[in-house]
Amino acid sequence: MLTASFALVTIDGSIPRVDKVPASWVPNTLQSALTSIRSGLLNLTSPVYVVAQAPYQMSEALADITDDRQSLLRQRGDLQAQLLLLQQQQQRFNYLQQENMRLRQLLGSKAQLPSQVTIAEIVGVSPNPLRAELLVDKGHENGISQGQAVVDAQGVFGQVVHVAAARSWVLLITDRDHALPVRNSRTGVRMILGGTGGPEALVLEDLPASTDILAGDLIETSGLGGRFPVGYPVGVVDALGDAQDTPYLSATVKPSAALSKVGHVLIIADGGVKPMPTQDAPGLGAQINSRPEGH
Amino acid sequence: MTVMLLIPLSLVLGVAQPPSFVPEWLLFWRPQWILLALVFWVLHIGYFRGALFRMFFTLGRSDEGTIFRRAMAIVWLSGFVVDGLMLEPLGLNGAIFAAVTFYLLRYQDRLALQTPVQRMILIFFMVFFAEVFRALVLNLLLGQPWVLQPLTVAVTSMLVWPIYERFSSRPLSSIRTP
Repeated sequence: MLTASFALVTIDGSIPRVDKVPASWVPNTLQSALTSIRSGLLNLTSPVYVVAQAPYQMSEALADITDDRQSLLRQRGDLQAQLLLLQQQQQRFNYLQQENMRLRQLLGSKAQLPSQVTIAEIVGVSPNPLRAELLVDKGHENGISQGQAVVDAQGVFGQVVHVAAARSWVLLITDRDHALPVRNSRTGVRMILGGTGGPEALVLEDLPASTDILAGDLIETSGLGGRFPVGYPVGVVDALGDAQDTPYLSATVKPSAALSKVGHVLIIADGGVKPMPTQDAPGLGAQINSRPEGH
Repeated sequence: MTVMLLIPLSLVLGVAQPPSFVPEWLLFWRPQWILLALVFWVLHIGYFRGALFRMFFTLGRSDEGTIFRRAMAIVWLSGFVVDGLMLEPLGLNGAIFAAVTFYLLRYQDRLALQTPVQRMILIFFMVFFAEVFRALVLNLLLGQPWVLQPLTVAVTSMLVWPIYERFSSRPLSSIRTP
């Protein structure tokens, strides 16, 4: 029994969580079998997370019920003002996107379209404080697959690592195992942004000491690697490391996404990068696949 | 019936998130509720005589050896469910549960004579070694860093054990054999 456990642990632990490249020494059939078992177990155990989150859901529902009319009217006014602002930005966005497409056609470069997104609700958090992972209420049934990028209203959130029929685990960008190809929006310099395990800190490591980077610079996705769509904000440079004793520079980055506060996230299909027909591009703007129940 | 409530409750307590005002470091002190449920269940295995217990453990043969072997197999399989719940490598919790169950069943006569303090010390070492093994596997396979979590979890598990046992034993007291 123990021998079987050790063999299973070694094989299952060797299957990479983030990278889609399978472990070389484990047969593919065994890897897919273990992935199927894990999906089944995720389906079986996800109600436990739903029950564990129930007190918070109930308190939110209670707060919604007990909200007085004045506060609801105030919220409505704020949302209307926000909507007006976003509509104005959307007009500008449409114009810029069309201009961008025309310029890409002139340059002969491959154009890209924002992909389909799925709204998912966070229903659980990993109990291990050393891992930054969240359980969301969308899975295979909703078109979610491993490796899809996850964002929130402010920026990049993480990526999907395990998928079951109706649930998925999302690895946050702050997890120690996570690395993300990014660029500095001010200078265009490409870098790799890693997680630190801390809730509000990312790190840019091993930058050449001559790199032009300043505190306050916006870091965005570079689109390299084909998993995260290009141009999404990831964070803002918070502080630069001391480079006196080393030829390399490091910097800490504060994530843009509200990693510990948000209740809903957007899962982007196919890494957000899709070849686009050169003429009559249909459907500018992200197409929303589904809405969370009750919202 | 106790176990029917105790196991789901332990699973929920094992993954429940504290409110946002609770500092994050307190998560390192979360007791090992699932392991406590297992220890409680194994220590009281002689008291369970419900229909479900009969179906799984004493159907066909009801000698101690059969119960021992079936208990080992069932806790090992239950470990997979916990692996799925905690998103840990498959087989990890099965190995821990099987080792703990083997020890508790092998020495159950001796353990029955323990005082509450001795039982707390047993819980401390059992949880500590289980968590060290878990941390070792996660470090080797997933690169998880070493922290003092095995120690903190063992301390809190040891401290909550008397309350946990008292709360969980209450429904059992009516069905205890003389």
